[in-house]
Parts: sequence; structure tokens; C-alpha cells
Amino acid sequence: MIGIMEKGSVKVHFKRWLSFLSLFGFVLLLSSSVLLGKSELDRHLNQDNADKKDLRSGPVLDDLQYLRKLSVDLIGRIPSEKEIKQFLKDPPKSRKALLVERLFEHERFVDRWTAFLADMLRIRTNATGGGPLLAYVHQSISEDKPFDELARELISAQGRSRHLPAVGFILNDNADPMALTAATTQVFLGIRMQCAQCHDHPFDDWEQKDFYELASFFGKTRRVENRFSRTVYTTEVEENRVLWPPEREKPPVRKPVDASFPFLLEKFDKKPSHLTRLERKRAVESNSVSDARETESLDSLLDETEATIEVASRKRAPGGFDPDADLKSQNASIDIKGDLYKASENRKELAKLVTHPRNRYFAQNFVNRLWAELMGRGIYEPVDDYSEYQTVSHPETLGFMRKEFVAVGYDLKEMIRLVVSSDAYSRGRLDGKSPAKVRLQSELAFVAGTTRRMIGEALFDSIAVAGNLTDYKWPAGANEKTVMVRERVYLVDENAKKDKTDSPAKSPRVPVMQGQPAMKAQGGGYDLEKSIALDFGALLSLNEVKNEIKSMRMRSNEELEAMKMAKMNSQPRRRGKYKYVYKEQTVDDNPRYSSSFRMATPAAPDHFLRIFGQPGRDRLGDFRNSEASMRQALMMLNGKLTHEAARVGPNESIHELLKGSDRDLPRAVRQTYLSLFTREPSKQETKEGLSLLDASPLEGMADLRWAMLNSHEFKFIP
Amino acid sequence: MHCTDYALTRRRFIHGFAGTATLLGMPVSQLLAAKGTAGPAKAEHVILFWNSGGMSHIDTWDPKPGRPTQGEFDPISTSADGIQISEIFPQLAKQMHHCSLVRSIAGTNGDHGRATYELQTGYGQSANLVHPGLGSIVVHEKERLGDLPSFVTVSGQAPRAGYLGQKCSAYFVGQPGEKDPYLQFPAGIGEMRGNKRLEVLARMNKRTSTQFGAKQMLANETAVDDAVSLMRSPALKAFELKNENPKTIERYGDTDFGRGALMAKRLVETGVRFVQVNRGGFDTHSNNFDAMRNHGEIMDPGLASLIEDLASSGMLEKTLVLMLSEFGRTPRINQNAGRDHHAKVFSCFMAGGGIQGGQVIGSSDEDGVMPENRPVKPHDIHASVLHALGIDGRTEVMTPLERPMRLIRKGGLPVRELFA
Repeated sequence: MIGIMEKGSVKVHFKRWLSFLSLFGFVLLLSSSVLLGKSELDRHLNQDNADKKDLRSGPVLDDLQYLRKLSVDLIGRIPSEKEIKQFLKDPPKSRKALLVERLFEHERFVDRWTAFLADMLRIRTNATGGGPLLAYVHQSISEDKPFDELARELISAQGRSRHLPAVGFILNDNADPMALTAATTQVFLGIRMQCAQCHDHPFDDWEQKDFYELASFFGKTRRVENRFSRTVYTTEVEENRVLWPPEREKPPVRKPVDASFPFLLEKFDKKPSHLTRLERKRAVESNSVSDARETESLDSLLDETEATIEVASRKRAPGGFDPDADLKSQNASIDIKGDLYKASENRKELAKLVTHPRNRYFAQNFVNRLWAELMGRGIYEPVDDYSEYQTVSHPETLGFMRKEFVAVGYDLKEMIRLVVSSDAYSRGRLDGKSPAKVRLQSELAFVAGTTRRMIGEALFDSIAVAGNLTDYKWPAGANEKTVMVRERVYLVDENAKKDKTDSPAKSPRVPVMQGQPAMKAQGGGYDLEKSIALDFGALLSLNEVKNEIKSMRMRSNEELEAMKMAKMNSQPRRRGKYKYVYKEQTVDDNPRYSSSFRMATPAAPDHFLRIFGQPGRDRLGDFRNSEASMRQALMMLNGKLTHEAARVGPNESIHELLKGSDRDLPRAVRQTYLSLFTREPSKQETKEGLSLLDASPLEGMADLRWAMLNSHEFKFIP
Repeated sequence: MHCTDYALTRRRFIHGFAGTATLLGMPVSQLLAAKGTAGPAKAEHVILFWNSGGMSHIDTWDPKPGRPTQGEFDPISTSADGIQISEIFPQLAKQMHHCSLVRSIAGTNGDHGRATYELQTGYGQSANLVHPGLGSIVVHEKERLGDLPSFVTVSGQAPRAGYLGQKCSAYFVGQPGEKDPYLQFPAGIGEMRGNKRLEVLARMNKRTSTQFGAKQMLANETAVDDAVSLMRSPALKAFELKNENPKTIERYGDTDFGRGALMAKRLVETGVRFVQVNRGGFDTHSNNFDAMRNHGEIMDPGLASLIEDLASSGMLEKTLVLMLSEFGRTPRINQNAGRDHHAKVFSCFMAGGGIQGGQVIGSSDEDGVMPENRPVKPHDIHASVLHALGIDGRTEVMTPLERPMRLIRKGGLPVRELFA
């Protein structure tokens, strides 16, 4: 129950009074400079906006609006009743600053920002190495790993993803030099060189040769898949497969290209302060941090595999030379060697250049993406297409932020803090009374807030928390109902038929394998709103690696193959003519939802999250989509999540206010507005709310909550 | 621009030009006529049966009697003179005078993912672009008829709409014939209460959108209005099979495939432009013949009944039925009585929509290894479908990042013989 303290309620009223006054304009100046203060970032923005016309500042968000906006942005959902209460207890002057720090420590912060990096890096849990990579990025954020360090690991990693999860980035593009070149420049530098793969860039200065020289850093890396164990890893070979001239020109001879980095590193006469600040910071860190532990564990693991290779190679077939067996045993040893991750010197060099403090594009790309995530639009757009010809709306601001990012040691939280404590972030939307042109110009200038919808995951989790669905809200058995379940009944006895038509080629019995099984909707047809959490810990478990290596030592490839067969045999697929029958089944429908940020990602194609714009992450430049669609409307109007969130369960505190001896309908309406909209209702809204509760308080409350969950105000960030 | 869009886009603008495109100073339509490729377009709808996993061509449309690659099935004669198909399709054999086969598709890729992409979109995979699937292209070019979504996919996913935008993506139906829970108010919420809720919501939304005048909010309201009008549409009955004659359901085979085929028929009759019916389980690396016999038992009644019914009602003239898979399977039978991936040559099935029935286009060699006559590129198939619908595959659309793209990959030409 929210039950705001007397003191808190006075403050809320004071706040509302303040924002009321600010409508007249004169408090606006006062509140913005006294309560927030213009930061250095704001000064740069002002400078960039100096020549712009038709600008009007959006209203400063009141404290509760700021709480809502920041919670959605930082932890990926609206604040819970408890969090609102806690926020209002804090002293008004330091509330906002305290909130930022509290959200940084929130367990959901890491989940939410993993989604940001997963979009950027195109992480798919169902791709080879994708699951471990996601867990690794998650871990890196929770450890506050500097972004340049993470980027270096991703670009240079070598080996098997179970062992070195960072290699998932290279595996994602199948270690293909051309694809990796396009990805590296676009993802980490925000520059599109893709066009230059096939021809000189049409709108830019890139030549095809530049692309090939950059690709050459990846030219010796290979993706290897063991034929028997199906283990996939990367390794380095002697031969560079990036050759010039390009194949399509049908040249008589093609020669390996020398690797060269086409981006100029900044040169300075005098070292600028952001670089000296970085150096100072790094010097302090290197004294305190020791990575001895990690090195040790890797080394001991490697020793173990070396021993394994020896055993494997001594086990040669005694009966003379068998080319096939020889190949197989070689395969096995290469497989294990894969874990040795013969480092890629080329990619290490590239990683250093990409993340170099004097490579302005690296920091610029990250801060622009971050800015777009928090402000609704990048300083240049699209965020992966910077060039000298690109329109940069706020060059001073961009320059300031990128230098700041370097100076603070590429720290994500520092940069988020910089943005969210700016005056620009704390501005709301202009209202419809301002001319459309003024509104647009002001939004583009970042002096007024934009109309920005929550990302799909945040919407999903916000509905769950608003409807108290993160825990059971019904006692067991309260929602038992009978549903009709469809079942297949086979018309012909499969085994009887089998005996008749048996043929010698068919033993052992191997079931038909599915290429791309069609997605089946089951369980009442609401599968599109399911959330099943991944276990990030298990994805990173090193023990599993050890066991795997151990088991490989003990089994030959033939044995592995036999195991694979046995595994397939244990899951027989029923076949034959069938018919559908309907059966009654009793279920206790008492749903509870876990965080959608923890789901396998991206979700299935027609899942709630995808319908609300989660990208497929299988292509570069495939961004989140924030368009409205009919499918979204159907999902929200009629879906299970909204429906369950709207229904009032006996375990909810609001139930008492509607039904029990403590019945207090005005308070119920007020509490609902606070927990769903993070604000108090207006007089008009209270009146309308009460009229809904008139006939049947429980049903009326469900109707009110349903409407509020579906409303603009719920989906769009203040 | 016919996919319902909630904001004016650049695409609408581009499309305005496409209609008057000229090539060598001659309107494209005349040029086509000059080459003899254009007849009056007859097709208005498409039903695509997508068989994923790579369906064996030899065991279906391209039997090789007497060859070591024949396998367990014998060919049977059909109602079309001189055309034989596999014995697993006895009922369909009686409808073959309505149908045509292409036996010489020359695929380029033996990997499921890449081949699926190519056969569904006509393009090869690219790191930077998501190409739209055939259904999305069709609904981008053809205006929506009636209340139902223009593009429906059944029992599985259709490819994405890519640069044509989310509005051209498919409406997904999980179980054909079952009520779609998203098309009605949640259980326990009656019509009256549901409508009351909508009123409360509309009032709330109006207040906010009037206050801010944001176009994103207005787009959201339009989406809700569209959703509600779909929920209230009598056309929704097309999705439900509960009032369908049980004998009809029996005739199509009461399986997901049969129900999918029957629902597809009902949907195109209601105006849906493109229905994709998905079926998996064709990746028969082992026990190919058991699996294919089983597929036959399930697909034969559905496909044959669909063709028969569409033909007798006259809808077949306007409806192109297509059965496609990402590749074929090896003529060689492996040690597990299976066949492996084979992209070099495979077949597809087509009927209706102005396609001349009872003919075979192209051929594979005697063992079904390589194309022998008239090789057909995968994107020729897409070009043929668009041609049947009267759409010029060379029309260019702009991607959101302003790269011009042809509807059909360059070089894709309609297979003219189909329309002879």
C-alpha cells in the first residue's frame, strides 16, 4: 500500500503547486537553476542552440515525473509502490541525485543496460555462442567494466565460447572477414563502410581498397566446427584470405592484402586534458587491480587440455595407417587446441586501434548511441552512420561528451549520470498549444522532451509491476477453470505398421530431424506473452567446460557419434495419420511474470516484445521500431498480460480498499493513479474513477486499470 | 502504398512514381507487352504452402522411375496428359490438369537458413538489409480488400517485411481454425463491458493527445481503431472452422495442414491477398520414405480438395496456389534411408491465378541431380508470382535509408511458359 505519509503528501502538494506556478513562466527559470542547475553539458547544448530559431523550453518535470522517466530508462520499468514511497521520503533537494545512485544499484539496472548493448552488438541467444556472450556482457556491466576493455575483448577473442564467451562476437558473423569489417566499423565506430565492400562508397570517401585493408585484420581467423562433437570455435591460420583485387573483377592474380587501419587517430601538439585525465585514472587503477586470479585459472585449464591432446594422439590405431581415423583424431586434437585460443595478433592490434583514446569515432559512437537511448534521438541519425557529410545537430555537445567518456575511463554509469542529471533530460514535452513547428524545432534542439514510447521489455515489465503480477495475487485454487485442450489422436497404430514395412536400411531407428520446426502455439494461445528467464550463471559456468573437456578425453569420436544417435533415439517423433479431439482440463490460472529482460533474446517473432519493436538483431542497422501497429493494439486490448494486470486479486493491497472493512474508494483511485501513472489524479479523474467503481468496485477497478494500462500516458515516457 | 500506414512515409511518395516508370523511353507495361510477357493479370490472391526443411523433389513432383535414385515410391499417372507425380499424392493426381510443375529450379545454397531466405525473399542474405518476403511484397503493391489483414501466416512464421516496414508484415495465426484470443475481449469480459472499457480508454487518450498533439499518439489511436474494427468485423468468421461442414473438414484431412488449407480458402474468399501455410518436417536425413509417405497422407487430401474447391467455385482463376521449399534432397539415398540437402535442382508446384494448368516447365537430368532443360532461378519464381498479379518486379522501392531496391532481384524474369 502506498499510503503516503502526511509529510510526503504535503511535499507532493507543494510540488504540484510549484509546477502550477511554473506555467506562468517565472518560476521556471528559478526552479531550473536552483533545483537542477545547468550542467556543463547544458552549457554546450546552449552553445549549439545559439543560432537556432523558434525554440521553447519544455516544462521541467516534477519530481514524480522525473522518478517515472528515470526508472523506465535506468531499470526498465515504472517505479513500484514501494519505490515511490521511498523516493518521497528523501529530502526534496537531494531526491533526484539520490535516485540516480539508487537505480544504479538496483538489480534491474544491469538487465536493462544489457539490452542496450545486446541491441548494439546484435546478440542472439540462439546463435552459436550467443547465450554465453549475452551472459558475459551482463557480467561485464555488473562489474563496471570499462567499455573500451569490453570492446577489445570482443574484437580480439579467440577460442570456444564456453571457455571465452567474448568470442561470441566473432562467431556471430561466422568469423567472416568482410562481415566482421562491416560490423566492427558500424557497431563500434558508428561508420558504415559496408558499401565499400563491393564498390567505392557512393556518398563518402571510402574506397574499396580501404575496406579490404581493414578486413585483412580478420583475414587469418577461421571458424571451425568439429564434425563429431559439433563444437564451434575460432582459430588463427597462416593464410590470409582477404585478397586484392576483388574476385568479381576476375583478376588474373589475387594477392593477400596488408592490414591497415583507415581511420586517422587524432594528433595534438599538447596533450588535451581528457587524455591526461584518462591516463591518471588508469594509472591509479592498475595499481589496485590485479588480474592474477583469472590468468591462473585459464592457465591451469590449458595445462589440462595439453595433457588431453597427448593422450588423444598416443591413442593412434595400431593396425597401420587409416586415413579416415587419422583425420578424425586430428580433428579431435584441433578441437581441444581450439581452447588454447592461439591469439590473433592482428585482431589484438585492430582492437587497440579501434578503442584508441585518440580514435574519436569510438567514443563518439558510444555517447551518441547512449544519448539517443535516453533522449529519443541521436545527435546524428542514424546512430551507425556518421560521416564528414553527416548533419550533426549539436557538434559542441557531441565533442564534449566523447571527451568526457574517454576521461572517465569509458564508464557507462558516469556517462548516464552526466546525461540524466542535465537540465535537458529533465524537460518534459511542450503541450499542443505551442505551434507544431516550435514543438518540432525544440525537440530537435533537445530543449523539450520528445514523445518516446517505452521499449517493449520496459512496457511488459511495467504492466506486470503495475498489476502486481510479479507475485501471485490470487490464493491457490481461486482461479480454477475448465479449458478445452486439443489433442492429437493417431488413427493407425504406428508400431504395427512399422513391422510390416520394415526395411534393412532402417536400423538403428532414427527419427526424422526437423530443419526449422514451425512455431506451435500452445497453452490457450497466449504463448506470445510468455516470459521464461535465462540462467546467466549457468551460461558462464566454467565447470561445465572442464567436464566437457574431460568427457572428450574419455570418448572417441565414434562414441560421441553414437551418443548423438542415442540422444536422437530417445526423443521419438510420433508419425502417422491423426485426428484432433477436444478434452476438458482443469487449470489454476494464477500467473506470475518474471522480468522480460531476462528472456532468451530476441523473443520469438510474434512475441509481445517483437511486436513492440525488439529488433531481430540478425542484421546491421536493424534498430528498435517504435511505430504503432494494429497488432500492438490487439495485444494490449485483448492480451493476457493486460487482462491479468487489470483484474484485482485478493492478495493485492488495493483489494482491502475496495472490498474490506477498510473500504475507501477515493483512496483506491488515488493509489491506482500513483502506482500506474506515478502521479496523483486530478479532481476530474477522481470523479470519473469513482463513477466507474460505483456499481461493482472490483470490476470497476479492473476496468479503470485496463484503460490506464492501455493509455498513452502509460506507454509514453513523461 | 497499400499497407495500412499510420504516418505518411516516403514510400507512398516513391510508389506514386513507380506506376509511370519508363524504360528506354517506353512505359514498362508496353515494353512487357512488346516482349510478349504480359497478358491481362488474372491473379488477385496467393496461397503459399511453405514446406520447410527442404522437400524431396524426387519423391514428390519429379519421380525417377527405374533409376537407382528412385527410392520407394512409384510414379502415378495424373489427369494431365503425360504428367506423372509420386504415388504419395493419389487425390492430387486427379486435379493435375489444373496444375503446373517447375522441375528445374536451380538453387544456390544448401544451408537451411540461407536457402530459406533466398526462396522466401528472392534475394541472398546481406549483412545490412532485411529483404521482404514474397507476401510482404504482394501486400505492399496490392490494396487491401475488406476488413481482414492483407497477409496472414498460418502454423508458423512468415519472413519479415524488412525495408517495406512493419505494416507489410504478416498476421500470425498459431492454430488454424482455433479462435485467435487476440481478436476478442479477454475471457469474462462481455461485449458491453468491453465497449465501456474502450469508451473510458478513448476519453483518457483524447485528453492526453489533445494536450500534447503528438503524432505518435494519434497513430496509436488509429491502431486501436483499426484493431477494434477488425474485432467487430463479420469477416472474422473466415478464421473459424467451427461452423464449417464437418464433412468438408474431413475431406481436407483434419490436420493442421488440412485445416490450414481450408482456412486459406476461406481467407482468400474474404479478400485476404496472401496466405502462407507453413509445414515443417521435410529435413529427412533419415527415414525419408516413411516421412514422405506420412507427409503425403497429410498433404494430399488438403491440397487436392483446395484445388478442386477453388476450381469449382471459379476462385482458382484469381488465386495462385504455390508450394515451395528451400531446396530439394539428394538423389543418393544415404545409409539411414534418408536423403540430404540438394539445392542444384528441385521442383515447385503451382496452380491457378492465370497459370496454364497441366504442364511441366523444365526438367532435371535422368537422376534428378542437375537441371537439364530450361533452368529457372529462384527469383524467377517470385517474378512469376508478381507477374501473375500484374506487378512489375522491376519496380523500385526506397529503403528507410534511401537505398533503391527492386521488388525482385535483378535478373529475375517471369517464367513465361507458365502463362502460355
